[in-house]
Amino acid sequence: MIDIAIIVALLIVVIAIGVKGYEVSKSMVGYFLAGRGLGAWVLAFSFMATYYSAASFLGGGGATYLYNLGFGAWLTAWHVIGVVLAWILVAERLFRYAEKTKIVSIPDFIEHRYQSKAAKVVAAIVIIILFTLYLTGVYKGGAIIIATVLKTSYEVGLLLLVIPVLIYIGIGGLKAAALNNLLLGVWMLVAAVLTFSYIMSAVGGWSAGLSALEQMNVLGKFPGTMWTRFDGMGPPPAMAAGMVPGLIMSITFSISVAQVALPSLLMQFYAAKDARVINYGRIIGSLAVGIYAILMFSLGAFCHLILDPRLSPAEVGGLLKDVDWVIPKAIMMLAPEGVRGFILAAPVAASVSTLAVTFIVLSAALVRDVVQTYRPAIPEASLVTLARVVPVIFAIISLVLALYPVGIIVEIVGVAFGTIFATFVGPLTIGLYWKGATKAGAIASMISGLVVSLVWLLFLYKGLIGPVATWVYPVVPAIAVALPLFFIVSYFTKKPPKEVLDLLG
Amino acid sequence: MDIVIAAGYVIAFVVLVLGVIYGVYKVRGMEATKQ
Repeated sequence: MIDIAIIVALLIVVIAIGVKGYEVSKSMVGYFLAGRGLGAWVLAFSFMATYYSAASFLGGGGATYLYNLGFGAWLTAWHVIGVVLAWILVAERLFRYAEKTKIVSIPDFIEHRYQSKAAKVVAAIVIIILFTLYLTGVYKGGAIIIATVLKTSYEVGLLLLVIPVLIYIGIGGLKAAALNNLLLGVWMLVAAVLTFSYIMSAVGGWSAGLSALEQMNVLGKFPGTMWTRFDGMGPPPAMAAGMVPGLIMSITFSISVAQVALPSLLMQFYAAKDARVINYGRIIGSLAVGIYAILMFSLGAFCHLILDPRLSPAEVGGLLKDVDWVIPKAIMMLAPEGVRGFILAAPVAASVSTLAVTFIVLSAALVRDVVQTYRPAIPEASLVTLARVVPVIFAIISLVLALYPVGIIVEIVGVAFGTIFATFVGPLTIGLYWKGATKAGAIASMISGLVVSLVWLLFLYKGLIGPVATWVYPVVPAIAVALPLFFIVSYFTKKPPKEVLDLLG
Repeated sequence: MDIVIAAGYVIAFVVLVLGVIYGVYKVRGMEATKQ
């Protein structure tokens, strides 16, 4: 009963906090960028809470139940590298650019940087496609937890998750989302500390847990030592193909380093009140993302010691196929009521915070970057009203997709993340530094990144369509094509004017 | 635990510490300039 109350309270509180954003959200800059007035703690935790969806808690936490601990180690390493690079290389430079040019969205940056409306519209369309796909993965984790705790259907869980988010971003835009993200991010971090503590206490600490794991034999056929070898445990087809290390590296890299090019994260840098916020945010944001990764991403392997003796072989086999349930099941066994509700609310908090900013980015892409570009005469007040309503359309589309879930959460989110990284790392992140980048290079890079990633996922990744299974994650070929194209096409095409390039510093 | 796995954890800790040290250095530089 207490567990239910905690999750219901969370969903009510976020709406109440959202009202605080209303006053500032009456203009485009107010709605999409919180009036460029975010402080360091709010911005840093909003970055963390936007980036970490429920997949970080469920798929990320449970992944090493299937994969060897190399997955947890390198997922943590790439996350820390990604967040540090995002705050050191991108945050200040993008904030300064936005401060000088008054841009509002990431496609705005693309348009201004490359002096091209076509590049802006391509960026907006790519964002709309990839983030709508990404939403479907974000829903799943939070909705499953709500449905399980409230003992209702998955469909009702989906609605209970999405409706509060649509209400509070409809009222308060990014200000409402960011204020909530401070609360939700702190909640996730505390839940990660509790989860780590309960699991480590149950296995006798890190070293004792590792020793016990190495002496186990999972299902009588997988020795525990396979979890402490980088070429050890993984999905059986990848093990048979000898591709576990390559699969681990390509998945963990593509999920993590997306932080340096993810529009939903980078757009929030525009919303900083001043450069001081970026400087303090750099410390707080890196610590928040890094500590959460260190605490969560290696827990799944240790859960064999907690879960396997209490479950049937069929149940263990089921968990190996769908690792999303590993952490919730372990917490249900270890934590008392109340604490359990608090921890299980963390993936809901993670879903809510990611959904909110993703809806705002989608709304900006459609209203600011497409509608306002082609209908500049529409009054700003009407556009803001449209921006408040548009997320409902994206919610409906992605809800329909979410009702046909495929694979484990971490794969869905991983593909979208990786594709966004492959698509934007050239035009956005490298374009902030390299003055030789051109609009033709940017457009070629964005389109090729999207197409190669999706084609590879369908036909060449693990044989979803056709007989070929390379077990190379789609982001790798997408980057291998998109980045060289960005440089080559830019080299041979016309550069933007000097006054624009001077803004890059 | 093999060396590739251990390397992942070591890199995570080292990069995080260096990132925070750089952040503190930038904040102190900014505050000093202000004074």
